[in-house]
Amino acid sequence: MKLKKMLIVGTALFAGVHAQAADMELEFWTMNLAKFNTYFDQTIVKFNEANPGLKAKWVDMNWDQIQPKLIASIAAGNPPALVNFNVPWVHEFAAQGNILPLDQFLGANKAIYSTNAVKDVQVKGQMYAFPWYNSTQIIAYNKDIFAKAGIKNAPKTFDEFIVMGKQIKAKTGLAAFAPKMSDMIGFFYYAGLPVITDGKAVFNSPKHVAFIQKFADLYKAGVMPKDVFKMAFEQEIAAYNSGKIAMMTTAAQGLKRTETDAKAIYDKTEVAPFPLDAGKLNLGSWMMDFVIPKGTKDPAAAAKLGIFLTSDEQQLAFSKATESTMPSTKKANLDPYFQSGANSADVVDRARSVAAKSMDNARTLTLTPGTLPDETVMTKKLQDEIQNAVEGRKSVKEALDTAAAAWNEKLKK
Amino acid sequence: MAMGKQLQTVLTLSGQYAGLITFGIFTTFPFIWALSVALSGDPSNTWLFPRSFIPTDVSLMWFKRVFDEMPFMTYMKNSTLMTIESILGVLIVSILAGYPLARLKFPGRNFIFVSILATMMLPSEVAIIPNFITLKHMGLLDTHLGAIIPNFAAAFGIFLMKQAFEAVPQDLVDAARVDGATEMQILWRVMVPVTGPSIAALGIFSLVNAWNDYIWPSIVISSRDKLPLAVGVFNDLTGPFATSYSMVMAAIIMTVIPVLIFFAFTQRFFIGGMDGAVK
Amino acid sequence: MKNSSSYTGIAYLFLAPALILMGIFTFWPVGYNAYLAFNNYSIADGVATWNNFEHFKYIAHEELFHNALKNSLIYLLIVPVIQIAALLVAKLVNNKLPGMTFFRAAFYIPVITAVSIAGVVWVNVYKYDGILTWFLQMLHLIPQGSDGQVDWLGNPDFALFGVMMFTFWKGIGWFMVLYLAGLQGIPKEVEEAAILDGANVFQRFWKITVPMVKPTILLCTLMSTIAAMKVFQEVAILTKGQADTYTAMFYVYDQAFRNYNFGRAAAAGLVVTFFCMILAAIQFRFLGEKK
Repeated sequence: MKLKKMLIVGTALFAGVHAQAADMELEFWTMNLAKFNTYFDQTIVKFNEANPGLKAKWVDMNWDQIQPKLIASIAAGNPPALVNFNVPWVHEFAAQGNILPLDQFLGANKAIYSTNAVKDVQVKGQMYAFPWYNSTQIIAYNKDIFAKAGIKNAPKTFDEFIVMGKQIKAKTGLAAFAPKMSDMIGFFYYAGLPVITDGKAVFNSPKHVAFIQKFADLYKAGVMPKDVFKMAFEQEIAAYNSGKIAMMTTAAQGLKRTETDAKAIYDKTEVAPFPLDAGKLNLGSWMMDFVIPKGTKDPAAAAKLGIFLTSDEQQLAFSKATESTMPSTKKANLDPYFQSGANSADVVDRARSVAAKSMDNARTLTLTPGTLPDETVMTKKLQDEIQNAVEGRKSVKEALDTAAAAWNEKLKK
Repeated sequence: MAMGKQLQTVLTLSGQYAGLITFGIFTTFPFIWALSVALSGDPSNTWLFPRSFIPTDVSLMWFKRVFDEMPFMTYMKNSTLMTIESILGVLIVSILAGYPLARLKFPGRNFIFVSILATMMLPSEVAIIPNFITLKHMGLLDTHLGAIIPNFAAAFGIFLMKQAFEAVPQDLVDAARVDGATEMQILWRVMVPVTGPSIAALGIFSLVNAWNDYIWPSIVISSRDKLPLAVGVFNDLTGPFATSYSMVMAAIIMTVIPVLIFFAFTQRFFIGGMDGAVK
Repeated sequence: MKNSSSYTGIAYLFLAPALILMGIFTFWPVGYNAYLAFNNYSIADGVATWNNFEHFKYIAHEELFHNALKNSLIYLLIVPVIQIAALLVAKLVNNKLPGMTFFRAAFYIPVITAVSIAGVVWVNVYKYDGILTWFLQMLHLIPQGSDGQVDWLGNPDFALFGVMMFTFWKGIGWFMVLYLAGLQGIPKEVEEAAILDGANVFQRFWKITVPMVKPTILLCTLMSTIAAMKVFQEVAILTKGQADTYTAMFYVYDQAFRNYNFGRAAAAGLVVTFFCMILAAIQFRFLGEKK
């Protein structure tokens, strides 16, 4: 009798333990997406149903916690299954060997992503992230200020952009725009200018000097606000919302803030695509993605979740939830949802359709990782010198020469 | 003659109050701005100075929205718990440690004191990864205790109590020794009552530190329902998809006010009696 | 009478909680960090390889680090300013006049406000068209209109001082509370006797107040010095390190969390610690109690 009892209990325990062990938890981190909990709740339910034995767990946090938390958890040996990264981080972590290459898990799935999206997350020919939601810059402008300056339409080329800027300042006294001066390397790529060739810094060529000179002239004329180098997207939106600048060069999400914080200006806003320059690439495209950290318990299972979250269907649903971002998959991008708002009375709808049309040239512009031995310091040197030039403390040629010399010294080693 | 003296007093007092008010404006203007933005139903003047110091279209809607869009009470409860535990932890550890360093002779005393001081001079960010690994081994990840325990042994608290204990007159201690008191009794019956103001000061400092602590709790805690206010506000209300600045301001005001009220009510403990605390 | 050896046991018993906690959460990371300063560390592999002082040699040649260190040292100028001001303010509110509670709370508000929020407002104080410009134009100290507009945090000549003002604002209430606690130790009779003797405000301040709060002054000055050497968050929020406000700790943070070079960050951190220790030793020499 006792033996029989023991066997029964033993089997029950064994089955119980086995059942527990079968349910694997896949934790995935996102940054600042807490408000889309309806979307994530339903996507988790769908995933769990389609994958018995796997349980997705969602953790959201502020963007500045992602890297420290991830590094700490990799060092401690318990990293999550997936982490929401941006493109520069993918490159940094791939170079350090802290995230896994994904081609082995993607297989045929690779084909669903747009060409640009794949290129964005490729390091040495391998994909290191699942491309996710994307956004690109558009121009949102204040119709009243444009009218006052005698401008009828948004600029169609970068040169027009600059000329109009000067006109706005001259006729209305207001600054025209506040582009992202904190990423001049991105600007160089936008203009089709190289930064490093054959291991040498080449950004002090006459073409580069002329390009930066344009900005120096704009700054001197007051077309850009005096603190433009310190302005991140939040301050740019705030300036636009206070009527202090005529144009916002921002992703469509920014307009939601204008809708809440400055309804009067929101009603006067019109949108247009941001002009392309010689580089034939959009300025300020920003793609988000998912990476699998090294050391995660079950990379194959994690990849399943990654593929699921970035599938056509899920990406479209997510875009509809945010109302302002684009998918990075080919099919989802063609969905009529994105163009449906083209003639809507609501500015965000129009912005969405403008952004969607611009997605073909959307690449997240960033320097190839591993090119710079001390990226933080060298990038800062270049930025500081350009800032000196644009703000009039040095001549452009002198500034770029100084920065190039500093770069070449470090690159030699 | 009486008139002259009265006039002098009035002038001195006016001077004093003028100085106090001016300095008060200097210290409070950011808070006033945040309060004004939080109370403005119409946010269009937020960035126009000095206009934004006065609310436009007074309304409590932002405060209400904070409660709608964020689990404010949960975060608040977490912050309160964590803060109380932090204060207790810091006070006990600091009082116990400060006493021998201040009043007892023993080998190694100077070395220990210097080592403790030295820890203050190191950058705290570098401790993140080793402490994270330690917590993992102790099973304290994603817990309130894990988020606050590294702060218990704070060099500052120990230093503060040491300085305070040093200032206590020796005769009080000698009298207690003569009476046959143990060291523990001397500490809690003589030292602590006399250094009340310093302990209260340390208490309020620990409170503010714990209440506003962001980096470490954000890294240790992953469950949303365990987050303190300082982290929760930034997680939920900021970022590229945030739609309203005014809401963040309202949330911040609500984070500051509890501490302010607490401070106002308890500050008499570290101002003590005005007849000179130590006789 | 008890002899020294029996105190030893008690002393270590009392010190035990602090020493154990510190051992785990402070000394161990510090030691590990110091170890990293001499190695090349790879996070994912968890492997550290000895590199023969390479990190120290590297930062010795790094112009940005020299500059950063210089800025951190300049920041020390804030220490005497904030200490004297805090002591004066403490003295000013150390009385029973009506409204003192309100003023003490008001002066403490900057301490309670999170750096990030306070930073946002102060960015707007220093904007070329912000509060400071408005204030100075109102007093006619600078030209009206856009001629008088200065990007206060954008000019390398004085941006750092702008950040220092922010630190002053944020910290003064903190030190005020400490000095208030310290002032309680001064018997009122001493001050009253001095007034009867005909001492004026200045004399009373320097001859009575200051000497009698010496332990507090040492504590506060040391804390203030260390904070100045380690300043980072304020700079990150106000200027992001631009306009020659990049400090030593900013360099440490960047190397650790943007370059992922923990060894180099650790080496730079040790240099900062070294300076702090020298300054601390000096302060203990001059402000410490002679036993």
